[in-house]
Amino acid sequence: MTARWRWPALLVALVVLALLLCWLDASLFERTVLPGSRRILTRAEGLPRPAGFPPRGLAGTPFGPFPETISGALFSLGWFAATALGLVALAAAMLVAFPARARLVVDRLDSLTVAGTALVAGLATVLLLFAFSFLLRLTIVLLPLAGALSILAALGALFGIACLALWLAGQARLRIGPAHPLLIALTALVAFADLALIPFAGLFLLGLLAVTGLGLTVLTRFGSPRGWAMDELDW
Amino acid sequence: MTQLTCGQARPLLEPYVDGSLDGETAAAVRSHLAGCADCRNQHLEAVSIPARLRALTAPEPPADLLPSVMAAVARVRRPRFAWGPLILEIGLCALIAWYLSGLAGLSALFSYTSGELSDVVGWGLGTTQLPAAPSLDLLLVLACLALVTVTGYHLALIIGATSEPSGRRAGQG
Amino acid sequence: MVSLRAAALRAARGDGGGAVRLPPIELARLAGGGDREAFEELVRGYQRRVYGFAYQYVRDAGEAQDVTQEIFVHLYRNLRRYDAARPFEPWFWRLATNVCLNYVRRRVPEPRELPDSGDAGGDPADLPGESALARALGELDRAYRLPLILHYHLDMSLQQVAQTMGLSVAAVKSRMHRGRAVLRRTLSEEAG
Repeated sequence: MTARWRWPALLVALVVLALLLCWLDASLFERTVLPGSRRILTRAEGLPRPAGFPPRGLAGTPFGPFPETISGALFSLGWFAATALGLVALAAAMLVAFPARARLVVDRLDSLTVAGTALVAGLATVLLLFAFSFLLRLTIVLLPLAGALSILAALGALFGIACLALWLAGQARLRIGPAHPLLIALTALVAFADLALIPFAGLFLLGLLAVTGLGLTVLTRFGSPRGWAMDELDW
Repeated sequence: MTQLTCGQARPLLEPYVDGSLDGETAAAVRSHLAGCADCRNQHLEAVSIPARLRALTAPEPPADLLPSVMAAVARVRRPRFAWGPLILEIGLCALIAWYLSGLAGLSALFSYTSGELSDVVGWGLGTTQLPAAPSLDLLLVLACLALVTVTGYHLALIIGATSEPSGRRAGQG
Repeated sequence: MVSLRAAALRAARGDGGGAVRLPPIELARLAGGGDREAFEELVRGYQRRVYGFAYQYVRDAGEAQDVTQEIFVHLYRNLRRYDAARPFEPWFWRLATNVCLNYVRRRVPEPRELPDSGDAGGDPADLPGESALARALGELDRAYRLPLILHYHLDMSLQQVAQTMGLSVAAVKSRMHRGRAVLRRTLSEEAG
């Protein structure tokens, strides 16, 4: 395969893998990456399950006889769009909106030790947020601040995941070859989505990525050139 | 042989100097140079640039470079201690989880908080009354205060240990 | 084994610190294991080339020292990950190149000092003896400046430059040709 088509082929392969994982996830365990998205898809428990899926609660092969797998494939496409695709699009938008900051974060990620430290920092940040939110609850009127902090933390985690994907993209580029930077980053994000779609383990892996990403964002102060230095505030 | 214009010949001067052009293109460039004084001057400039680049000098490194590098390296430390406060944090979380009767209690607390948040937002919009403040549970408050303190201190330690080394100029007034 | 290594390091320091007796790959292996003396010998052996590389890139003596220090600190942090089965120089210069690019990328432009403020890090154009070529090189786009410095100043082959920059040899040649063409045009305009 010529170098020019390697990255698009890899992206297509990863998307196909994501669809298959969605199918497996929807069929076997009825669990989604984002809780509640299944309700969005089926709207009510009473709706008939699409053909090609085993009855609920039956752990068996996810793929039915051939003619019935078409509706199963369409269902999986909707499942994928409702779950992983939104996260991939948001993370890609973060990279497009803040490319310099993302690159600064990736440059700091030069060893597994840094990644481990980011994970610890992310855990500490999550615990800090929970404990602080509980204390804010006691004041009642300051409770919306806890909501705002939670949203900021979620955005920070998303930015961190985007940076981790960018790092993966850089590593893969050395082995596979150059291509448009956005194509490479998108491929890495879809690879992360595939990890998150693995039944059972996927939610844990996504949590791990999110916490590490949040830690990276906190450590680098959202990719600030001077980190946590306060030089700009010094007169 | 193709007759080149100045605009066509000049971008080819560098590969011509390096001998990277195919025979026909090189001959075309040579033929153009023979008849164009301006491009011949450009060619002379192009020929001299590699040698002049090689001849560029840099000042000697300052005498304090090696000591400053070793001093900066001495400040680099592996943040093993970054994992230490995590034990205390896990202990405090375990205490809070036990006090709240496990995951059921935590999820109940979360749902109460979500309800109160929407009521406060409604109060701000003028649609609902301000909800009553929850009762003060001293043990829980103290545990959360301790957790906030420990995690804040932990983050400060990690950020301090992983900051980039400051440049020579950072210490200058 | 330890006494042989210590003796080699002492011998290297004894001849004025200019020649490094142990090859860089061996020093890198020792330094990666935490040997500060081996790391110091590595710095001593490479400091002139690294400083020259940094100076040619940032064209400021003060900033060149900052960049050089950062390069060696990054080297210290990353030596644990260096695979001694691979050549040291391409790995090292790739690290140095990345540090240099990152430094310039995150550098916040400082307010320009007045010419008589005595700041040694003033505009290179004001320094006596600064050639027109050096000035033009400093103004060149970094995508073209870097391969020129690696090939002509550090005497790297095109293959080594390509490995360092993560490009093909053809791409490196193309960038070098375009960089030299820009330099030629700039010098002609200044002379004309």
